[in-house]
Amino acid sequence: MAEEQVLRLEHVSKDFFGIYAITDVSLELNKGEILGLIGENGAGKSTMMNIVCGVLPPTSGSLFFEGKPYEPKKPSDAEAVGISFIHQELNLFNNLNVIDNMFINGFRHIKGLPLNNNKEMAEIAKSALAQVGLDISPYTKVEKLSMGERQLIEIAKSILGDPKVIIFDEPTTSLTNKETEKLFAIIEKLKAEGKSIIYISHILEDVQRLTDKIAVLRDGVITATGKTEEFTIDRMISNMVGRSITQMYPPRIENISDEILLSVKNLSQPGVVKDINLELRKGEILGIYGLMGAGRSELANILFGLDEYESGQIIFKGKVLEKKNPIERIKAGMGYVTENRKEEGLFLEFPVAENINITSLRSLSKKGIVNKKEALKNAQDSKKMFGIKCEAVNKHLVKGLSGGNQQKVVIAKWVSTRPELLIVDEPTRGIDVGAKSEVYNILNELARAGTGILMVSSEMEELIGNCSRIIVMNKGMITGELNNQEICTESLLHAAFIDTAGM
Amino acid sequence: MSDKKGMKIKILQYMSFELFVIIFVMFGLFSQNWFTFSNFIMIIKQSSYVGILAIGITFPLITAGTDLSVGAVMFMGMSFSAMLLDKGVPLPVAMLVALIIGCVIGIVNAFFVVDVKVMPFIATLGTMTVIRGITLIFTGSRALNIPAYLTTAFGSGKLFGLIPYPAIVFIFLLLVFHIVLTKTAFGRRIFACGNNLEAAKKAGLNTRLVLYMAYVISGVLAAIAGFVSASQIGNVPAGFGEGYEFDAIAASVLGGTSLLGGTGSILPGVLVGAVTIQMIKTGLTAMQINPYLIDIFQALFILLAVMLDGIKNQVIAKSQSRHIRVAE
Amino acid sequence: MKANSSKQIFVKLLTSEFFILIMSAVYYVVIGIISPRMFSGNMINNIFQNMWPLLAGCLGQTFVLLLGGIDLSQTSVISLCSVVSGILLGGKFQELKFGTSPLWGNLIKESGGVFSGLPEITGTVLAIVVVLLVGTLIGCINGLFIAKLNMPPFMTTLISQMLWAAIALWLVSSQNCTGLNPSFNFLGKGKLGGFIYMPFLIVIILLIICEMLLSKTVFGKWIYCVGSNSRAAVVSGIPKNLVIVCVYSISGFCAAVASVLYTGRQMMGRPTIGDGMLNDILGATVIGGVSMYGGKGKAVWALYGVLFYCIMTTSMNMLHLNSFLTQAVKGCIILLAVSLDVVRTSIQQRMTK
Repeated sequence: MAEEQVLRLEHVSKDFFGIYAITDVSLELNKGEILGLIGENGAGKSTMMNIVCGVLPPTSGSLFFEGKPYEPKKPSDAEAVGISFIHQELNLFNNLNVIDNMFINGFRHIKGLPLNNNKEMAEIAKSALAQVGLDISPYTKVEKLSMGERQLIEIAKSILGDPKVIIFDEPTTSLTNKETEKLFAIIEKLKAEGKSIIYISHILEDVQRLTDKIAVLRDGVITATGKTEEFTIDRMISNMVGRSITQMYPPRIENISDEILLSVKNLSQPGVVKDINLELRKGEILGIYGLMGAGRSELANILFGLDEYESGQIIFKGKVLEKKNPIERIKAGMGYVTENRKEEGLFLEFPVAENINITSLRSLSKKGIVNKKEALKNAQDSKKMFGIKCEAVNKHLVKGLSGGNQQKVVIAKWVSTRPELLIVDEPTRGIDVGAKSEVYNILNELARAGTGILMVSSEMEELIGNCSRIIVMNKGMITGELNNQEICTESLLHAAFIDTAGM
Repeated sequence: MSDKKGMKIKILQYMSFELFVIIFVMFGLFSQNWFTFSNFIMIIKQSSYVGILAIGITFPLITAGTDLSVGAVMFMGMSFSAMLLDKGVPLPVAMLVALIIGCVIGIVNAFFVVDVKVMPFIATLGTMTVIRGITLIFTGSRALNIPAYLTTAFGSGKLFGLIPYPAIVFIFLLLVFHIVLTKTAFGRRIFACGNNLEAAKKAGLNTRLVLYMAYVISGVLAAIAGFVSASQIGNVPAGFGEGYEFDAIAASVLGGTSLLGGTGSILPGVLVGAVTIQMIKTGLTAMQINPYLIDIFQALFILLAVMLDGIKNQVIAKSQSRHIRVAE
Repeated sequence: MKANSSKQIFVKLLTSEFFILIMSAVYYVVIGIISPRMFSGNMINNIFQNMWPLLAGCLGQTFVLLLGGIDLSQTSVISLCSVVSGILLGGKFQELKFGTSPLWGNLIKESGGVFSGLPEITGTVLAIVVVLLVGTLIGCINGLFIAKLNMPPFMTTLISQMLWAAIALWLVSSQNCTGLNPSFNFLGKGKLGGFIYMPFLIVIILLIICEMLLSKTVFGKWIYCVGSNSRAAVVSGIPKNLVIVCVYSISGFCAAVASVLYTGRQMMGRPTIGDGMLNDILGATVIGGVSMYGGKGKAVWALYGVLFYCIMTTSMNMLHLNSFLTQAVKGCIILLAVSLDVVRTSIQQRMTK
């Protein structure tokens, strides 16, 4: 069979304000082919897909669809030629039923009346649902469906338009094993029907199993492409990670005290985490690794008392903590740098000083009245200590800072409470390389001074570079633990990607 | 694991019916002639204008907005019609004017909410004051008369001498807007916008149009409610429609519409809600309770309805937040 | 180039915290030129006297708006507190009028209210304490519903408004309670030493306390934080629910202060005294620059807003405008104020991007 080309990218680049997100990317996709696209967070996968789907225009380079030039201006242009994108976050309306969701943008009407022809739509929906192997009534409300079923609804919705190319972005993160198997069978079937598929995933075993061809992205550049048979998991990883890990990171801490700071016993919350046990010592940087949806951030929220848990114990400095009480934890000496600094960490409209001081107001005040001098000094000290680049700390609004400096403000606000345990969730998300290494230095210095640090991350590299031990989470459970000597990318990934099925 | 929780959610979900039945039976025990057909018809008739307002207000409520101006729209629309009728303008024209007024105010409300992006309750609170002020400039504080035939033929008339016309209009509008909400593309899209406006935009819906329509429907139905109400009262007093927005919101919320948007129904929702509210009024009056207390009871009852809505949303949010995958 | 710079000046003016103060001055002068009577001592006195009770209410509203909430129940708190003052201090109640009141015979009697038998000053002080407690308690209840049940503030306080207004009417059967203590009335219209207008003195002190509370204390910072980003506030260890309850209590307290001043000024407890004041309180507070989106505003901004508002309404009265037109204009001021709020917020967002 002569290979028929469907989609081709030629020397496509995209820069945001002078910073290249992807550079000179060329790629081909043939009819009836599954292309696996892999790369770390921020490698440029989503930028690339946004260009293909008409969300972003490329800065340079050209795209071809079925041999003809293709210049999508808006998402509907992509839909019109037959490219369908299934996003990681599902775009469904929970309060509507399956039919409404599938036809929300183009209801079929009863002839001559403005009324929806539910019968006709139900027929079409049913056959689309059958194609994805979903045996439910099309009148079911989406909120009643499991995450996996919702994913299948999205797929059924997308095949309604008879697309030629379907892009899946991390489709399995919220699926159970059974549902994943089902999804793969459907993807195989779609392929057999001659549809082309781009499959984006962190789960390399799945990519290896499912795809015909693989493209690896790193820092916006394609570092390797080729037939799937040519790739081992090791090769994929080395293509993804590439640079030598040790350069960016401070030397590891040698002698950690034996004093246990935090211990968690049999912590469970149905639907979130299950049977978590861990211990963290003074001056230790403990990593928690997991992919999206593994329950790592949820665990951090529970540890800090923001969310509830049903059973188990959290013991901090020898004392059992209350179930849901962040204030108690802060007083006891915990800090929490959250995953989303804009939503949960910062008061964007306020100056830097206010943001830094907010957690330590109790010590910066007397009888409820803030000591302005001391507060200003505290902020200025933090600015100096962390090298926060801003003008006057009491004038410069946080929203005017760069991502890296914003993150330093969040860390500074916790450090000024002199915490004994700092939980950091994705400490370097969305900040540039220089700022990253500064953040690592700060965290390591804190640890050296005796602070225990729980580093939660989905970036394997930074955990390997910083942590003395790494706990791996998958589907709400701890699936592995690696200590200093064992830490290497492969073992980490292996622990993260093994299925819980056999356990 | 969650049989008890599922039960709790079920009980909260069907709260409107449960309250309806409880109140219905309660009044039945206290007053005579309660369980009669004529009493029931009367309650439907009396609840007609609040019910029509509630049908309208349900649309902005589903979009997670609100419309506090409906009482004032009733007043303005009906006052201008009454003045025109007084000058000898034919009834259909006067009615049309009222409907146009409702439509225009709906557009103004939507403009502030959708385009200026003011919070719905404060925008409509503002338009409410303006509308009432403007109307009063024209009417002074006197009550306007409406032609007697409106009262005799429509307001207190009955079809086949059995079913009052206001009740028929109410039921007709219930049916029409039930179909609009459940069977048309627009109706379904309203729910989509109320559930997640960003997702609706991403899905390529013309959300601006949908929201404008919601406020226009609310305005137009308020104008119709004005006619239904005035023809029962017999004139248009200066305080016409004042405070009805509360009853309308309460009726809608009682019928299962959430103040957080995304859920709501006309049938059975608004019908049950409006009748329940009216039942309380009629029932308490029948029990010859101090009229001051009726107002207090009513406020407490609305509080109960909104409180239950709040509790329901919390329980549902909690049950959904547990939807994170865990190994099976 | 020149157009650009004039646009910049306009934007700067619009986003300045003194914008409304400048507008007040401009408006005052323009109206004064049209009708010089605006400059007369009588008018100035009028504006001055109208400002203070309104400001008391606006200060409470400022706290709530800083939290990103709203308190629509202030008007009925004013009414109910006025009724309570009447019940406590009323001189004489006629059975003809008050016979149907639920309090007839126990709290209110032919011989007068509860505290009417006490020595004058003791009675007044006790009455004020009770009134302030009532206001604070109502605010506290609002806060509890909002914080604990997550009910939308506007709906909660709207229902609260209906409920307390109905109760105020019920307690006194819609009648006014007259014959209050002179010392109580003195608070609403007297002049200390024949010189300092009492409401001015009381509300200025209240303003200073509010300003201090917001700018100097930990609690003040907490309010701004919860209003700006409530999730981040919780993560930072701020007791969000406590802050919400306290803020609504403050709003109720301030409304009670306003009630004392209005009641004293009118020399009677009136169950409808707060009716129609919602527009005044909201309009003045928001036009002063306190944002409805939370986290932005100062207590003193309420003063600016009130000044503008009082100049506006006084001028309309002076021009003998139809009272209904005045009402419509007040509605327009609210719409204008909230639209201005939105425009300012978006301009500021664009400027820092």
